[in-house]
Amino acid sequence: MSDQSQPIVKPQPIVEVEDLWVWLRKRGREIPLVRGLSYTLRPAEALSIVGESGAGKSIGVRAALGLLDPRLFRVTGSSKLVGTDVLALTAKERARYVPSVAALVFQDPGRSLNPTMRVGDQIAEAFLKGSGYEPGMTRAKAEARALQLMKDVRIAAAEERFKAYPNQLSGGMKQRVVIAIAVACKPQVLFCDEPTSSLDVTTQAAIMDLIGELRDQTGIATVTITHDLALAASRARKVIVMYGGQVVEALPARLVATESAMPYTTALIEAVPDIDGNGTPPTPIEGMPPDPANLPSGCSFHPRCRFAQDDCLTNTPELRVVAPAHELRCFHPVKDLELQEASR
Amino acid sequence: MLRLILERLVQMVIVVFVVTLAAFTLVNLLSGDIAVYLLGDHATPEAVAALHAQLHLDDPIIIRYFDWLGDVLQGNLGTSVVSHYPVVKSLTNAIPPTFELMIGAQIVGITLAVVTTAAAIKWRWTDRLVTGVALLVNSIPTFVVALILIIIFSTTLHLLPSIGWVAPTSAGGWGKNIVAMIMPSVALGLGIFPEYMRILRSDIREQLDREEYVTLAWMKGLRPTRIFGKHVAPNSVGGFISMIATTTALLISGVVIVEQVFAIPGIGKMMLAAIDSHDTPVLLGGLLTIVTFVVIINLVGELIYMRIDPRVRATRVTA
Amino acid sequence: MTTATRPLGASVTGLSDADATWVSGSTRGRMVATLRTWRRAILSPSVAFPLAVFLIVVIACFAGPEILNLPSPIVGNLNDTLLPPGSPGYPLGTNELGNDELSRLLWGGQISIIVGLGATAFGLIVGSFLGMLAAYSGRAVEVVIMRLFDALLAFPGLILALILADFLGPNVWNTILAIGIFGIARFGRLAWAQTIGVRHRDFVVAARSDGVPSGSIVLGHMVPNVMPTLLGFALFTVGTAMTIEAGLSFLGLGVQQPQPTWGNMIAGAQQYMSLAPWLLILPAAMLVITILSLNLVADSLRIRLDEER
Repeated sequence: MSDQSQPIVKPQPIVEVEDLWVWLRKRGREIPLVRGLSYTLRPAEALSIVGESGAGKSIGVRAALGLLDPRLFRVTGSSKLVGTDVLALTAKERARYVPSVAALVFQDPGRSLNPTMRVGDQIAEAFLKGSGYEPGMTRAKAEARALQLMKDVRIAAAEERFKAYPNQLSGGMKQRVVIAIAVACKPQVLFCDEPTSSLDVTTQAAIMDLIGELRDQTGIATVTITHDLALAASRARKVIVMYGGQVVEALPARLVATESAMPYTTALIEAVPDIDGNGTPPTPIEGMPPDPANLPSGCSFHPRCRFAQDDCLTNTPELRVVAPAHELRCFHPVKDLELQEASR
Repeated sequence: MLRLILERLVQMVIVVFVVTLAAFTLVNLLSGDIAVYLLGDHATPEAVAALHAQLHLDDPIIIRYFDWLGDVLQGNLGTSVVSHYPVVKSLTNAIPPTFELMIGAQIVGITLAVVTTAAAIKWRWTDRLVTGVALLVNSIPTFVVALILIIIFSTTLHLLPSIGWVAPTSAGGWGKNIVAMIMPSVALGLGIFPEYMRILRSDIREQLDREEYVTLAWMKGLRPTRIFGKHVAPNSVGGFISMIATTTALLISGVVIVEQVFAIPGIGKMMLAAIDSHDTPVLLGGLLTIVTFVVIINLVGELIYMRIDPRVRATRVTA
Repeated sequence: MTTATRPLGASVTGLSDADATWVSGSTRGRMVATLRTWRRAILSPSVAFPLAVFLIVVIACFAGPEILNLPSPIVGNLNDTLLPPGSPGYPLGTNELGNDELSRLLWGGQISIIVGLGATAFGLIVGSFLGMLAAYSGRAVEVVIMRLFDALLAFPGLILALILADFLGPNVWNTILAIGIFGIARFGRLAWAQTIGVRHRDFVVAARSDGVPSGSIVLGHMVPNVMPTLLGFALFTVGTAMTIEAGLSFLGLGVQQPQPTWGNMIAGAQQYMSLAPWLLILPAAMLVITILSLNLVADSLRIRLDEER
């Protein structure tokens, strides 16, 4: 969707995640994995959440869908999907409500399909017994729709593959089946948890194209989790960068290459071959992501930050608006720093 | 698939060969001079020598093993040195009671395991209860279980007979036969159910907690019963069946004890008597039967597993 | 394998300075961390309570007869046969030969415990040696040892034990041997799998390329990495070994009467089941309590250690 077609009156948001916290319960302790995540998503919008593994992206999405086991995790805040806070629902209500509005595509397609069930049946099941059900649905209708969906997600030789077991399909093929299942449930928002990181590069692009087309055709909103900033910037409207369970920067995707100012974001850009187009070789980020059980004082990123100063160790930065639609959690943003250096 | 079966068959033959060779050597080395044992300490040297010649006891063990193996391949397991009764005949008499006992024990074990697992998955407090009970049952030796059952149901309540074998061809027919088999089957089945339950329960738990296809099923908006019946249970069946097959080997030990307690004339009792009287041909014949049975049942378990589980069907065929 | 030529003092426990240089930080750090988690796990109530029960049984069986000044378990008084528990002079009654039941119970426990621990130790030592040898050597040695394990596993365990116990002659040591052989294949396979896991780890590869002798690598790097898992498994095996010992004794092929064991006491009590049920109930209860406490220790410890991970 291009900027010109943006309606003047913004439609009601589909996803409103507000101050979401997730703690892991472990041996009587509670370890914070997500610390105050907030974002809003309107129909047909595309959001990418970027960060290293362990940044809390995945857990944040699962918490927002009410998927986390309350015996293992404590979740606070709110997650409104189409106006209803799923965290306030009972388990039973949630099991009915969440699938009717949201769908989830997983990182490893090898593990996200039931190995003992034919893939066609797994799609048809969503129409027959799941939230894709409509009055008057029969097995024949469900199977016909499932087959059509397989064709829609461009599975070649769909009739044959309908009867195949997941292990007879390639990884990309399996991911298409998972997407078909997601679509069959007629969601208004599609969450994708690193949907392409276990696939090869050409399949990656094809799957991302497919998700993009779905968005354009059906108007569903998408939230894509990735550790690949280049992918995020090229496929989304808005990018959220997470570090140590917090949002450290949020900005429109088209500004990522030029305007990002949090040292972690710029480090991610330098870690990607050639996103900034200046031909410099990629520089990996030194050090390890923080241990959620033992977070650093002050800014969580300071131990790895090239621009860290004394106040980064003692004071905790807040997320602040630095430009329209651009938020930042940093005392010494890269862009300001450059200006200071230039004026000296 | 066919190649795999052939490979497994070759492995099977090797294992049976190694085990019987080891058993043959062991039994012959350990039993001392069988002729002296049979004839008693006061036998004349001539008599001993005569028996030696008759039983080929002076040949090297390896030669005697291959003699024995040759006979086995022709379907001849020799005759008992004690009763002079053909070993094959003793075996064919002993197999049906043992077979029935094992089937009964499996029915008891599997039923208990499925019921307790279902309870363990459903609520937290039943989980605690059921795992506790399983641990307790697992700590009671089979013969103690058998004796407790006898005390309760035979000597106190007079509900069941404490003699475990009535031939179905006898006056009582199958009815009496099955009634007599109840207690032995329960005694043996109780011994295997904790292991069945432990594995089944942890497999299902593991799926519920970790497998993404269960999450996907939830995200489809399916009802819990449907998720469990279509997406969890079928993925446990294959592993469960192969476990039943491997457990059969462990069951043999319990068979010896249960047959002794309930006076069932099966393989276990036969082996015990043969060990007691140093009856080498019967011992070896019984061992051969048991080992062959164990190896075959393991193969069958593996094949059923592969038939049922499409993951294995596609990926492990070349393994 | 050069372990045999190493002086005993230089084994895992007594590391010399020279040894310390090739025990890499990672291995030593892991050992310390493992010891710490084990200690924490053992001190948690779900482990400590059954462990205390087991230790009380052990102490009672070994020190009890002396402390309580109990009569010999085998020199009975034929005037006092089959007395019920609570009889004067015989707190738990007497058996059919007038032997003091309490004394027999405690003496019998000694055998069960010795055989349980002995057979486990035998299986653990022989099995882990063979398993690690197989994994470390690879090639033909590995194939031979692993097939040996296969054959041993295909052998019906109790029958093998029965044959050995009967043909070697029934006494404590042969019973330990007969039951211990059971465990060899199981311990061996586990040790093999664990060793395979560390065989290609950096510190082993590094030590190998530095020309460190094989025996040193095995003792210094592999044993510390493999042992925690094996010891955990051994805990489960003690209860199993005690069960088998009782089974052997019950079938009359374990330690023989008049020397009491819980197994042969139960077997002997069968004929007096209705006349003197305590003769059956007491040893059976002791057996179950002991095995249950061991299984509880093993089970809780496993759960605790899983949680720590």
